[in-house]
Amino acid sequence: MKTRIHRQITALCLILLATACGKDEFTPYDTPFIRIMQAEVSSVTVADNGTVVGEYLVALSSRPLTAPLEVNFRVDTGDGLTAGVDYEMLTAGTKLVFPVGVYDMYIRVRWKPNPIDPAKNNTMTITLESTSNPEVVIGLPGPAHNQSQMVITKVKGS
Amino acid sequence: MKKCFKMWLCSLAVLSLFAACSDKDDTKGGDSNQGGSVAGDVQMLSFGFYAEDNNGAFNSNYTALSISGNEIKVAMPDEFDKTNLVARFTAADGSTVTVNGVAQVSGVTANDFSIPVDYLVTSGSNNAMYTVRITKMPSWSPYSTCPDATANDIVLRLHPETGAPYVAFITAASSTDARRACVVKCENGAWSYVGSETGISEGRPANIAFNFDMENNMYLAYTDYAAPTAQTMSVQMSSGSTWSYVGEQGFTSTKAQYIGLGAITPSDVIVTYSSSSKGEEFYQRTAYCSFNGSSWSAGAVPPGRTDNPGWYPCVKRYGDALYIAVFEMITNGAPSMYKYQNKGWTTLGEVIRSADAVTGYRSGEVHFDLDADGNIYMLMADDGPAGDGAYKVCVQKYDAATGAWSRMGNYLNTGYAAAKVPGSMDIGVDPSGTPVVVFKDPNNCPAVITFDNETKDWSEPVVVGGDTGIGNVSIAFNETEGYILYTDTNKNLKLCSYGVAE
Repeated sequence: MKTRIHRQITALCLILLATACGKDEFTPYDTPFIRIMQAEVSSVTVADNGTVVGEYLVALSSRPLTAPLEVNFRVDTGDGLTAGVDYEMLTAGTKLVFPVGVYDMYIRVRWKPNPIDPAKNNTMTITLESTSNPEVVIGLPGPAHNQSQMVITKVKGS
Repeated sequence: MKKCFKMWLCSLAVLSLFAACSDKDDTKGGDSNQGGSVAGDVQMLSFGFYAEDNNGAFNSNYTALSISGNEIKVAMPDEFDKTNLVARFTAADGSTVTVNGVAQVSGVTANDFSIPVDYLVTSGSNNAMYTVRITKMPSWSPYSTCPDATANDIVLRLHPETGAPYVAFITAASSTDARRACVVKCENGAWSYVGSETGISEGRPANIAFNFDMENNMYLAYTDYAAPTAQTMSVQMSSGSTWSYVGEQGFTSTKAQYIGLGAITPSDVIVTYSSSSKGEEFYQRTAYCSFNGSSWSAGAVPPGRTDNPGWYPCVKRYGDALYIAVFEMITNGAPSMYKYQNKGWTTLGEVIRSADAVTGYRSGEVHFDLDADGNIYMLMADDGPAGDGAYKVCVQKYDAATGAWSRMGNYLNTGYAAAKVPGSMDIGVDPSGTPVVVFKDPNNCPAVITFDNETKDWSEPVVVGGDTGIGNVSIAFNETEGYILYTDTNKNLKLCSYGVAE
């Protein structure tokens, strides 16, 4: 009887040991990142016969920061687009500054009606290049860094 | 020794109990972005443009439709100059408001609102940014609620001559056996039944389809549980008040689901359907029968159609032609469209999706409408441009002159997260030839997205009707008016009307 009870206690102890939680088994993802997109899409078109203010959202995902975050971006255009004729940058310069507590800011472009030459490169690419906080990752987490760039292509309007 | 070991084992086991994981997450992971939601002391409380502040530029006051998250929308007529508007606003006590670093004084400071303006509300070291956008005036307004009916499935069609909205529906009785197919109409805001209030169908129906022919007769098709062979299809016709069977009750050779119906004249009626029973002819495939004025033909695959599994048909009549859309239930499926005219079939396109998409989304009935030139606007969802299954809503346009399909503008911003598609949506072309999409938004409100002829792309969504918790939505236009129909949270039928400037 005594032996049986001892065996049961031993078995119970072993079970408890085996099932003890591992406090550090799961490490939550905590890396801040910044991305650019429009309605969750990284590539959009604008009609060459439309007048539109394109708004491209730069979204910061982070725990609250303690200092403003500067985000540097670059705008590249193909040979089919001419500033002042096909488009006008409404967001001045190449830097956004996120005040503490602000997580969404826009880069805006006014697209102007002007027929495209389909043989040319009619794209604008806005690339997030760097931030003032080295911990902030550019683009969505992952090796592809999706949503680190926004591509807008001017196309023939319907 | 043995005793010692056991004591040690017991102690370790007990300790392990107390060292169990804590749910408390003291390092927040992932996205802790507040998404623009505001702290208590940096809030914009109200916003608008008042006649008193704007030197007679307009006579009315225009206040924010909503302050949602960090977005403020104010609707104003197109004709107003928006390049120099003074806003009136209130923000949380003790906060300051700036635009591009310039201090803002409510009722005094002017800004160029022809583009969105970002207002920064600051208190101490905390900030919140609000983007103010001036939107077009809503064109839709609540029109009428049907007081007597509660509905599940709904089909909206406008009378070809009077333009009055007619609604075919299945009653929302809690017992499925008590449900019936009915039709109501709304004339000058007043609702009345077409036929019996207790039901046109003799028994329980499913999968209704409803349309008018060129002579203004109306037709109702449904899976008929009261047919001699239960769940075969029945069609009834009415020229105004009484209903009668077209051919036999339950005329299909198999059980029928995914029903479509169109009629040119009483002697030229077609239905489409799939069989719902494995082993039966046309199981899960699209078949059609035609009525020649006296009898129905046997089921057959529409001529020219690739005999794929096909569901979710939609049939509409335009003049003396019927347009039939069906979703191809194949790997990487998408909608197909056919035209029936002079008792012949033409394939307008099969497996239609964006050029850069891999798969279309099986979202239910394939919705479409035509403009006066015969161009087709088909509402669907696919996974372009990444082709990765992240479905987004789009409109495929068929150019009647070239016979080519292409996606019209960009994907629509329905407000749903990636790969989520509205549970109910529809499309109509207004009298000016502009396509208008209605859908159930993420808050279960009816919302409208219109193709903007200025930007040549789709607008942002605008909520209409004022209801939440809605069921299905539908839209229809005639030469002068349009209607949105939806079922509210009580399953009552509600109409919104649309005014078109002359």
